[in-house]
Amino acid sequence: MSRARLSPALVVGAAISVVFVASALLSLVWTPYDVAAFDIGHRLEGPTAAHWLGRDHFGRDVASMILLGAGNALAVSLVAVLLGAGLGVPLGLLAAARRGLIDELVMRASDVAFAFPALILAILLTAVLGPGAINAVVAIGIFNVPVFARLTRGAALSLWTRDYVLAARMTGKGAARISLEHILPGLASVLIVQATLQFSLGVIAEAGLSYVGLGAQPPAASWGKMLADAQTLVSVAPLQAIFPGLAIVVTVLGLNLLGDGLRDRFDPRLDEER
Amino acid sequence: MLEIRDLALTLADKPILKGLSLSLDAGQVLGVVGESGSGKSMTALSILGLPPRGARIEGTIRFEGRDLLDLTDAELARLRGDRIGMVFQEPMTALNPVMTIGAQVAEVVRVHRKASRAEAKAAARKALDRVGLADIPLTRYPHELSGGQRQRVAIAIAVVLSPRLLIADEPTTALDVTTQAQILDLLLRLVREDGAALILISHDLALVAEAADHVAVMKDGEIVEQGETGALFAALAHPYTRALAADAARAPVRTRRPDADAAPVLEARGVVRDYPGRRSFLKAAPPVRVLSGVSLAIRPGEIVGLVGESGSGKSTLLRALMALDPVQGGEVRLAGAPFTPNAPRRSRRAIQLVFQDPNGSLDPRWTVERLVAEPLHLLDDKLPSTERRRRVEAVLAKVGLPAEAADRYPHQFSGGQRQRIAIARALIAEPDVIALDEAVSALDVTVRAEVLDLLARLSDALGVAYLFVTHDMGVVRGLTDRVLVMKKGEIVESGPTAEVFADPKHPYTAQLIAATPDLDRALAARR
Repeated sequence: MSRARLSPALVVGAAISVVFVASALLSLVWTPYDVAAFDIGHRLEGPTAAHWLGRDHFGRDVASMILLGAGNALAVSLVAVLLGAGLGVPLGLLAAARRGLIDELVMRASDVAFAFPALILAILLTAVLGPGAINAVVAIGIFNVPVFARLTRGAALSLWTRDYVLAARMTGKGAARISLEHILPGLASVLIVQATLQFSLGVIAEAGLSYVGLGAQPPAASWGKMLADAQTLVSVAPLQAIFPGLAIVVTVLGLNLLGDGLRDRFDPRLDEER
Repeated sequence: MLEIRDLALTLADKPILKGLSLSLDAGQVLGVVGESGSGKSMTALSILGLPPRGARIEGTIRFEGRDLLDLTDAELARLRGDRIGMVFQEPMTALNPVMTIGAQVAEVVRVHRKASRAEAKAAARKALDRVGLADIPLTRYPHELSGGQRQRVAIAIAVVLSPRLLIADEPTTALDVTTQAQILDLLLRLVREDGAALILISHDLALVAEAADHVAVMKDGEIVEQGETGALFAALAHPYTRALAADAARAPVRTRRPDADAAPVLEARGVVRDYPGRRSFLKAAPPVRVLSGVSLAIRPGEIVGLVGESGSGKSTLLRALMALDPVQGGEVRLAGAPFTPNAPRRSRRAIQLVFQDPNGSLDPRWTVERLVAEPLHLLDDKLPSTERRRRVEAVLAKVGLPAEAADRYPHQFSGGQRQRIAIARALIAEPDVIALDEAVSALDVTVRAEVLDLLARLSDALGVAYLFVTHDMGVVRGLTDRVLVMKKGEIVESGPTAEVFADPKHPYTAQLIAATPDLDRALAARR
């Protein structure tokens, strides 16, 4: 039962995720070219030594746009996950600790939320609230809430039956304190895994919203927006669609691999043996 | 029929079994005793050809003239369930919860014999009749049966094809005392009827002494001593066997006698506890009465045993005494004041609980210091961290653990040490009463004796009273001053331990005592 061994999925997933986060952070301070500078003369130019991934329909450097797109994707999905976990985890803990009416309310509300296709409703929400990165974050984040609430409640319920929780109850500790001291730390591993998976869903959702023009607005760069722009030109300049598409696929794949790898590593059966 | 020569098993370069030799004839019962980790179960799994992945086995296991270690997996699979049957400790996990019991017994027949569905079903019926489940339909699922009935189904699966060799690994450990005795009798009767051989693996010396013709005592992967049961126990030649026998019968020495006239620290007066009935769509069923007017009193420094089988209401009574659940009638009084779930936090200091399973009762993510200090939450004043640490170290010293233990995590300790940590946690708030819920049941014989000694010493030194809730009459006999026998939510007998054991008034008490394996009695019966 060596826990030191890393699965290949975990290593590859972690590597891709690190590259993704690093490019996103890099784009905050530096990009190879200024993407505000249009150069219509060199529009749709293929990859060159100076512009590795070529130029887009305004003559902007595609590599710089991809980097900035990573930044946008990271920011939107990170905040969406934090929003979802920040509301969902306390709701789940509360439902598990109090049971009864509160439990019913939280669970039925999340049933209702699950009944709607998340992305479609996110489109509806952004259409009502108006397009933009902030509204996209809210729309994606809201659908993370029931996911985290349910997961937290289920796992917390099983922890509440443990003898050490009973021991804590006998010391007169309240439900809130026990939730924080005994339950939440026991949930950390499942929550981290779920956060990783929700993160990858967030990247897809952000790309989807931007693709239909409801996500990040110009001049902000987004992979979904880049795909949408490239679509009309796909017969003239197919590479325009390949690079942002590849960025989305590789990032999502990496995050999923990371999530699955972490899940295997935090396997509850191994957990008992620690 | 079975002959094991120089069996050695290594797992990840660690020797688990070291040169084991055993032999067994048809019709014989071989008892294998030893503590956990001694290699008892590994021996059984090796015979079945089911050693853990990556294990290296040397030696020979000759069964009916063939060396099992030379056989292919397919050949072994044909033997298992047919020529060799196996009964495990925990019937709930050994049975498939989504298959009817009839289908599970019939499956074995269909796998090993060319039998039609109807023939297999008939064989299953016959096997279940043999194990005493004649009035249970084949269409029942495991969860619809009691623990004892489930173990009977597991035995039916093992004996349906009349194997020549039956291996039973702690077959009665998970069961109640009276059920244990019935299951053991059943196993012995079946092997006698079939003329088969039985390997009975157990940690319980008395049980093996009662049932087995030959005994092998295992320690650290070796058989330290083996021989005919009567002779082996009469001689107790090997020091380890002697130590095991002594530990099993150990009665800790106590110097302090409780004051019979003192006011009780914990008292229950006519406690009634109902569970709400099962709620159906519109109306609720009437509540189920679990405790019907239970009264008891524990005086300072007294050690009281509360015995009864599962379902007798022991745990419910304990929860009511700990004021974890509200009572529907009567009252619980702690240190002279009413004790209810709404009692002020500091009043809880006077009563603490030690659980059965130290793995489950210690949060694996907390250090020992934090765990042991948790009940300090009950004190009104928050202690500075140096004072907290000092108290933790002091109480760890009392239970025989070093001060450094405070910085480690529960998984770094053995089972016995973990139970010491749990006891330290119960002691730190200086309670008047400690309730021990099967607190030594999960421990090995020698460790159990050590923990019982520790508890007796602590009672002498601190004058703390214990309520020992258990199904194990042996523990009660050795340690307690007084015993309460519980059945169906009522206390049917109570009195000084020695008197109750010498002259039980209630037939249920007599039944419990008779069903408990007893080394002296078993050996006397042999002579």
